[in-house]
Amino acid sequence: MNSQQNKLPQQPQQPPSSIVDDDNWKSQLKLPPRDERRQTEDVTATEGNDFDDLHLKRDLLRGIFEKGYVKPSPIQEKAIPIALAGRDIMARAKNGTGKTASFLIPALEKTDPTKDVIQVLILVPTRELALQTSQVCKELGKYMNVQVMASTGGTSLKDDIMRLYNPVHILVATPGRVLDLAQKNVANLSNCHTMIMDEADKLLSQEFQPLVEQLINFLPQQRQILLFSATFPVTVKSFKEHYLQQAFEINLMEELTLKGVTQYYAFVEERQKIHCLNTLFSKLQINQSIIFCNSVNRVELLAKKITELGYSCFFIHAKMVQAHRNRVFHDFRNGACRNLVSSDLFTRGIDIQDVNVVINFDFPKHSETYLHRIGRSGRFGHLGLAINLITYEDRFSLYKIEQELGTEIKPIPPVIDKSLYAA
Amino acid sequence: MEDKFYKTNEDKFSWIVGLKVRIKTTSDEQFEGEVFNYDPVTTCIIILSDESTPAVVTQKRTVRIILESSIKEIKCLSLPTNTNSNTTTTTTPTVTSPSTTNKQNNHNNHHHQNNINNDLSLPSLNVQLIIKKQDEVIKKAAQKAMKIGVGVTPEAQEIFNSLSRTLPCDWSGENIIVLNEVKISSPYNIENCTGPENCKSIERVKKVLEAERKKLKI
Repeated sequence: MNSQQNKLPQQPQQPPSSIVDDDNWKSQLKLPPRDERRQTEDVTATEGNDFDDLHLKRDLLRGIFEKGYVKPSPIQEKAIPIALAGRDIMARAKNGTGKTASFLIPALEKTDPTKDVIQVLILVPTRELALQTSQVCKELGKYMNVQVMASTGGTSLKDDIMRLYNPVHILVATPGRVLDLAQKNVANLSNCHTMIMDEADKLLSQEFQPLVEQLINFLPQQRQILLFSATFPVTVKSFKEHYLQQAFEINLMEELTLKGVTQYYAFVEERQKIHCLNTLFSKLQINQSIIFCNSVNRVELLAKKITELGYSCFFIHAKMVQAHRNRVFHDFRNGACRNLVSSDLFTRGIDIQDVNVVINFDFPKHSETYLHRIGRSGRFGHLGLAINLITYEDRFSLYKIEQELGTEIKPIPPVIDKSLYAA
Repeated sequence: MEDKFYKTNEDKFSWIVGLKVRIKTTSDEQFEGEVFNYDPVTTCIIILSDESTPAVVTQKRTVRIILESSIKEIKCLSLPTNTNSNTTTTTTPTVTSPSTTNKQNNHNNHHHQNNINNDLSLPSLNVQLIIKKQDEVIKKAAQKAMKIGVGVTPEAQEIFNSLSRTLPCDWSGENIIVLNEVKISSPYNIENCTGPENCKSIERVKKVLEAERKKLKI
C-alpha cells in the first residue's frame, strides 16, 4: 500500500477517457484488516458483480472499500441498481445480510452535497438503530461531503432544532421525532426525493403507521420510497397500493432463518434456568452474547444474577434513560463487555459482528420476535449459535415457531462443535 | 478376497458406511467424502462430498456413485461422526444435508457377526421440498432461456447480457426492455433509449448502457 500522497501529474496530452479509467486510486485506499471468517451463501450467492460494476461515484466507492466491504451481498447486488434507477422498492432479505448498505449506498449516490436541503429521509423504528445507521452512513460517505444527522425521541428537541440550522443532506430518524420537527417547520422535507423505511414491517405496525403516513404528506409529489425488512405482514399491501408506484419487489427470503445460525433448545424448569445459563457460560466459547428476556423486570433481575455468578454483563431495555441506553449500546458494540441482557428493544437491525451466541433465556411467543432475536448472531453470513431455554409452558410456542419459520430447532447436544459458531 | 470371511455379499462393505474416505479410481480420479451407502446388488458405493470452501460455508453436497470394481485405492480419513438425528420436533428435515445414523465406532471389527445389527437406516426425505427445488431449477432455466434474443446480432446479445447483470432486462423482438419501461432499439446506443413520459429510470439506464458499452469496447 502506497501511503504517500503520490498523485500523478496531470498530463495534458492524455485523452480524458484515460482519467476515467484510472485505477490508481485503489492503491491509495486505507483498507481495514480483511475479515477471514467463513461466510454462508446468505451473502455469497450473487451473480458475481463487484461494487465497481454498480456504476457508483469514485468517492463513494472509496468509502465502501475503506469500510471493509469487499463484494456486494445478494440483496445489495439486486437493490442498489433498482434504487438508483428511481424505482420504488419492497425488499425482503434475511437479517444481517447487508440491507443497510443496500439503501445507504443509493442514498449517498443520489445526494447532491452542493444543495443544502434534506434530500433523503431514512426512517427506523428504534433510537439505537438510528444511531447505528447514521454512523454507517457517515463512514460510507466520508469522502462525499455529505452531512448526516440522526434524530430520535428521548433526546433534546432543542439540540435537534439547533442542528437543523446547519446543512443536513440525509436525515436518519424515528418517525415521531421527525414528524414533530416537520410539523414545526424546522425540518423542511419538501426537497426530500427519497424516503427509506428500514424494518418496514415495524414502521407499518399500528404504533408507527399513522406517523409515517403523515410524514409522506410533507414529501414532494415526485418521490421514491424504499421498504426493507426481513418480514412483511399483510398491512404492507394497503400501504403499497396507496403510496408506492410500480414498486419493484425483491424477495430473498426463500427460507427465513440464517444458514449460518445453528439452533438448539434445552428443556428446563423455570428454577433451573440460572443454573443452565451458568453451564452454558462455562462451556461455550463466546465472543459476545446477547441474552433475551421477555420483560423489563426480568432483564434487570437476570443481569443482577449473572453479575453474582461472576460474569461481566450489561443490560438494556426500553425503560432506561436514553443516555444510559446510548452508553450501553456504544460500549457493548466496542467490546467493553462480553454479555448483554436485553429486552426485545435490541432485536431489530442491531449489527454487532462479534456476537456469535444468542440465548433466549425466556422463549418468545411469536416467530417474528424469534427470527429477529436469533438474527443478532451470524451477521453478514458468518456462523452463530442460538440456544433456547424451554419450559413446559413454552412447548407449544416452540412447535408453532418451528412450523411458521420452516426451521429446525434441535435438542442441545452434550458438546457443541466449536466450528459451528466460533471462527 | 476369501469368501469365508463373509456370510453374504451384503456384509462386504456395509461396515464402512459413515466413514470419511479418500477414494482413488482406476482412472486415477480422486474423491473425498463420507460413505453414504453401499448397494450390494449393483456393487456401488455412494459418497457424499462437502462443497464448503475455506471462504464459504454451504450445506450443498455432491453425491457420487462409484462402482466397486473401479476403485483402485481407498483410504480412511476419519471415523464416522455419531450424527444424532433423534429430534422430537423435527418438521422440515433438510434434503441438502442427509446424515446416516451409524453406531459403529470401530471399523476394524468387521470380522464379527454383529455387523448385521448396525443401524443403517436412511434419513427421511421431504418430498415436498424436493419437488419445490425441482420447480425452482426448471423456472430458473426457463428464465435463462428467455434472456436469449431471437434474430439479434451477437453484439446485441452481449449488450443485453452486460446490462442484465444489474438491471432487469427482457427481449421484445429486437428491442431490449429494461425495468419493464425503457426500450432500447437497435443499434442500442444511448440515443436509442425511449421511455414513457415522466420515466424516472431512463437517465440511469442511459448511464449504465454507456458505461457497459465502454466496458465492452463497442
